[in-house]
Amino acid sequence: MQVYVVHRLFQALFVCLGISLITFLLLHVVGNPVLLLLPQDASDADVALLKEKLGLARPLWAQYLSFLSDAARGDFGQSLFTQESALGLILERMPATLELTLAGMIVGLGIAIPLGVISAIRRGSLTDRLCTVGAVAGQAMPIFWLGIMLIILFAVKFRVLPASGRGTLWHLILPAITLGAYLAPLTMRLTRSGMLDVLTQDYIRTARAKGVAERVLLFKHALRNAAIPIVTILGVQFGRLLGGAVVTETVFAWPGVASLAVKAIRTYDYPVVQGAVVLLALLIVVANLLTDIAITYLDPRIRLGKAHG
Amino acid sequence: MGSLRRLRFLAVGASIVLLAVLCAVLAPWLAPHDPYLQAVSVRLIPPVWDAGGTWRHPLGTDPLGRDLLSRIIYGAQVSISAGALAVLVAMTLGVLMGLLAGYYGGGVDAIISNLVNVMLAFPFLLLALAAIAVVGPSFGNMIVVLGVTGWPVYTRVVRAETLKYREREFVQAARALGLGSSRIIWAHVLPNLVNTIIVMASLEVARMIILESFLSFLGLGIQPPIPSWGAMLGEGRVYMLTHWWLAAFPGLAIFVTTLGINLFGDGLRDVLDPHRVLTAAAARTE
Repeated sequence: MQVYVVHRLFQALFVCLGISLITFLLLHVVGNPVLLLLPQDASDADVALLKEKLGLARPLWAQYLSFLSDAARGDFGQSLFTQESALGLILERMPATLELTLAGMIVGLGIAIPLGVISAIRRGSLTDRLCTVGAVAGQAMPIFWLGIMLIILFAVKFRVLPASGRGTLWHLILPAITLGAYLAPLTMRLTRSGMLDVLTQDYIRTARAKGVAERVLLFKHALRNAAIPIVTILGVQFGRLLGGAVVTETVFAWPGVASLAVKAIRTYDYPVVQGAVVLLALLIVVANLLTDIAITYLDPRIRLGKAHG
Repeated sequence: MGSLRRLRFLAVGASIVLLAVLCAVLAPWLAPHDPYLQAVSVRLIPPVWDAGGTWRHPLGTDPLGRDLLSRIIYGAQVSISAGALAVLVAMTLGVLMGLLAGYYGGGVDAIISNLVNVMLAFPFLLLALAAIAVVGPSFGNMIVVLGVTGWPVYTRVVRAETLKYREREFVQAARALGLGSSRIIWAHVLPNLVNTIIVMASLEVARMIILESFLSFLGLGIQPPIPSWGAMLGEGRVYMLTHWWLAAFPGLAIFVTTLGINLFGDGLRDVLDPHRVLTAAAARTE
């Protein structure tokens, strides 16, 4: 167990290095911040001056190393426009993003897990079929469209909920539904198949044969074992959830990290882009790490070799 | 009973996909108006069933007086070609990497697998957005970016499958007969993976269409005045408080198309490989 955790920690560290390298290469090698910052008719002297000022005249490896050591200390540089610390700007908006993702997760899982379990128990029933159709349709739904339709319906037509911004619980409802709708279909399908797997196991049949009440059977025997696939799903979905948050924050003008990043991407405020991408990716790495550790805890059979074989 | 229902899904999906492809190919003949034709006199006309609507513009017109139905029909060209091309790039890259990692193992596998882990840890959308912002928004750049960021999904599955086949007797036999590695990969391993790859790719087309739409929605994809569903939805969003149809119909077009592709892909999976329903679904979670 400890060996496994240490191994996973090293792996996570490696992933973090890779993330920083790709982000750095993308912004510094593929793109050229200087040319984008200066007007098109800027002289070569201006370009050289700005390069010097931003520390972009040094060799690439030196730039990467200083980027890395700065990033490790949480310093991603200053926003090119507001001159504020990029990390400060990002952290300031982190609570909003976490609030939204948490709310989206509650809505998504609140719909998906009960429906997935019911579909599995009543396999082939009308409920199961409706859920399947709903999940297929939900998976095809572009959530930025769903968000806009919800705004048109509830903010414009019925005037019962605010269309954008953050503040009260009312502001959270539409974004949370949008994000939840993104999360729910796949989670439901995976919960259903995870539950079906468990329900066909021998120990369930044994329990049923010895007369264990159906309710006890489901909650004590089946659901507890279905928890492993469900936790796995949760971890894997976290990355998707953040992707969904990018879309949701943009549609609802939600003042979170993702909408900050999108804005920074548009204005080529690369310290902020860098910081936001690296920090969000870090969140995903940590979530995946915690999931893997949680699974090991839930299922002692899973060990390094088996888990990654 | 279940399989019959699945076949029905497949048929419905195939019909929707066919319809979208027909729209794309036959757009010049199907569209009632020129999608670029502006006419201030008929700007912001509501759909035909709303007060003030007219059969001349069944789905209404946009702020420049362009016919929405015609633009949606033409929009199929962009979405379908972008989705298909992005998948082609991502699939080629991903399958190649997966074959290499799975077949050769060792150092090659370590490098590729770690790269996959890194790529999958990225918030995919942010990575694509940042890349587009760096290289500049255009159709070609978008395809490259979606392709280059979308390959790890294939690599993961193809690697796992290749690992399995590498140890099978027929591959061992080919090796014993002295066949070269590349020949074994192309002639003996890859053909066994074709079904899996086709199913994944068909489902990925839907994901790529949604991503393309979102990029265009943000103004980072297809540039105006080219009619693309995402860009139209983005324009419509500005008017959503007063003119709902501008955002509603382009989004509906995206939804119906991706739904058709998903139904088709799911059905295809059951037909081609009924045993892999679970693994493929798990792979799609990224």
